[in-house]
Amino acid sequence: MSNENREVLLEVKDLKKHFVIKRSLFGQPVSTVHAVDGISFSIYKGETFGLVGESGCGKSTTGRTIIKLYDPTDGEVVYDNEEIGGLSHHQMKPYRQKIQMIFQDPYASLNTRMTVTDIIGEGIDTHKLLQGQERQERIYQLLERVGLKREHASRYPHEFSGGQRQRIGIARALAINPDLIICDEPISALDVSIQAQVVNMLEDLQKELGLTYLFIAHDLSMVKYISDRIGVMYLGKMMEIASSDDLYDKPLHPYTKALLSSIPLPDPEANKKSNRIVLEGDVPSPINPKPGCRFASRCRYCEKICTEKDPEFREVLPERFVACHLVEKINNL
Amino acid sequence: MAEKILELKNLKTSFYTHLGEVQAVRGVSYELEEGHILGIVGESGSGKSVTSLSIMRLIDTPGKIKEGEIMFQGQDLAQLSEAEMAELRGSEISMIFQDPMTSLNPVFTIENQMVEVIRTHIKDPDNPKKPISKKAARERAVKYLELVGIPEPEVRIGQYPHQYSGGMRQRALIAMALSCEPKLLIADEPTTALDVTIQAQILELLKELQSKTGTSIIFITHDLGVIAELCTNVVVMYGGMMMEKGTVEEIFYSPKHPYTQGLHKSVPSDVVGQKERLVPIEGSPPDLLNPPQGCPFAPRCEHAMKICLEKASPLYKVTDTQVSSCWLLDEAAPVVEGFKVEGGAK
Repeated sequence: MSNENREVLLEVKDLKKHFVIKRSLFGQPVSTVHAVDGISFSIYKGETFGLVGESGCGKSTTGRTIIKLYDPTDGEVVYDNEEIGGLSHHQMKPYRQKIQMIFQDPYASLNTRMTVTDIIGEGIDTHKLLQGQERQERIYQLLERVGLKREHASRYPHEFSGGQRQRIGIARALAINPDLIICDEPISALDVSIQAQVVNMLEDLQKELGLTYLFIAHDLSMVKYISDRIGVMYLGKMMEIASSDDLYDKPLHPYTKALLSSIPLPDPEANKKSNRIVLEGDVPSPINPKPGCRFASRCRYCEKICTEKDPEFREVLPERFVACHLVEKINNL
Repeated sequence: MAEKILELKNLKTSFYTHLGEVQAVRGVSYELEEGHILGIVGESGSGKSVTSLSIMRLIDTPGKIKEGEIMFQGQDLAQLSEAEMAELRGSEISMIFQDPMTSLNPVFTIENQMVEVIRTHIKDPDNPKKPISKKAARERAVKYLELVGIPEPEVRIGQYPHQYSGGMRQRALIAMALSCEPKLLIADEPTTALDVTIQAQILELLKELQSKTGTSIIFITHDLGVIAELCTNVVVMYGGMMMEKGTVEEIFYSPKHPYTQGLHKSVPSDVVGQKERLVPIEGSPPDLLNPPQGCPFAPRCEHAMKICLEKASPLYKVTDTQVSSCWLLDEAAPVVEGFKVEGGAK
């Protein structure tokens, strides 16, 4: 995608989502999970923005906060130049038609008591888009578009395999002509051979319908494959944003370096040659996090400043954003 | 050539459900040499886990090992009584599972659980009729926790599983599995539930322990990357049957079975700047209630011939270490002897 004339579709500014898990006698928060703690990024029209990180880094919470399944604690979500983070449930309705979501678990995300027609048609009815025969035709057309058959329309979810259910989930998201689809780990519950089917289909749909994706996943090789740009999260903070080739070619943040080097490659020779950085210890708890860089406790370059001051998220090279005090020193920039 | 520690011969395991017989494993034969790490790769429902549960004899009703031999150190595990098998489990063959939280008992401390295992299998050196003393068992447990890299094992051993993180639980399970120095360790997707950075730690640990203790490992996974990283030999399973086996280099660089080739094409290559479209394997895995008559992969195979739909292929020998079950190899190679498929070679 060329850098000129690109239009921002979604902009997230300093987004925060905290969950209070314990309050004092007087209702003051005592323990707070800082699930998302001030992240900013933009998604351009027609691109796929990948969001990666380990479990508990806040990538799913980010997706859910954008679509307002959670109310943001602080910060802004700007969709097509309109601030939507603070809208009420009712005001949000027109935007829900623009932003749709595909969920991870194809077993839990479809209502077992609804037929496929009801599942796909629900959004059409809610937004009063089509009725009667037209509605039914649209559902058939969607089913065929995602590689299912017309006769599947009257069946129930339990009659389908995991890959087929994920296709139903995609048809449901497409039913109301959204512009932005948030894909929350859409392939991680599927088998390897089925994953490629779903990924290829998502790519075709993007080309055909001009969709924009926010692709959340922990499978780094698939994210690299599908995304134009990638954001790397760690403990509620954005660590690095870069185009997918730049990120994999030359990661700048120490966490990104470690994360990428820990992917086992499907190639025995390459694995022997790779210099694996094995991180010590576990991801710290996101409850009442310490000041300073979140990654400091596991970072091998850690210096005094890292434990004292939050690193600023800044553009160190054109189109490359990193939150690290020492990034210039580490990478000889 | 190293000694064979385990040899499966035409193993068949079925589950008799009210819907009918689910043929989970339909004639699998492979062997594991001492000190090797054998990777078993396959999708869900390919029979990879049921095969290893059969080795452990952990198949419960309505499941049953129908046929075949499981030769371990000269004895057929399929023929042993439950008591004899219980003796072997944990001491000679150990297993670690995918989900470390459900494999550990939440109401007992790690110490309780480890000491129990050790005292069940290890006898007191002074009095061989009695189990090892509690104190000695605890020392041994601490030693193994230290070996797998649990910080402050003396303190941590007294804690409950919920006080451990996911990666540490898996480490504790590995310590428990190794504490009786088994000859064979079966690891069933031990890193699937973990994050990549933790997975890297566990793989590193398994490699290190393997070279230290010489334990043979069967590693079950669906992740080709993990196989390439860790294993020396690979078995590819599909629809309850073995499609191909060979050394890790053979399976990755010269796969002879269309399914293995298809698996390689459906994961993105890691070359930067190069974006080739993924080639998925169309269709979905077979229904093991009514398994296809011929090769289980035939309905999804781009090369499928008439015979593929009618009859399962024998195992064709590609090299000394690689065999592949595919009719395409028919004229090129001789049939491996002793494999029961009617109408074998041509």
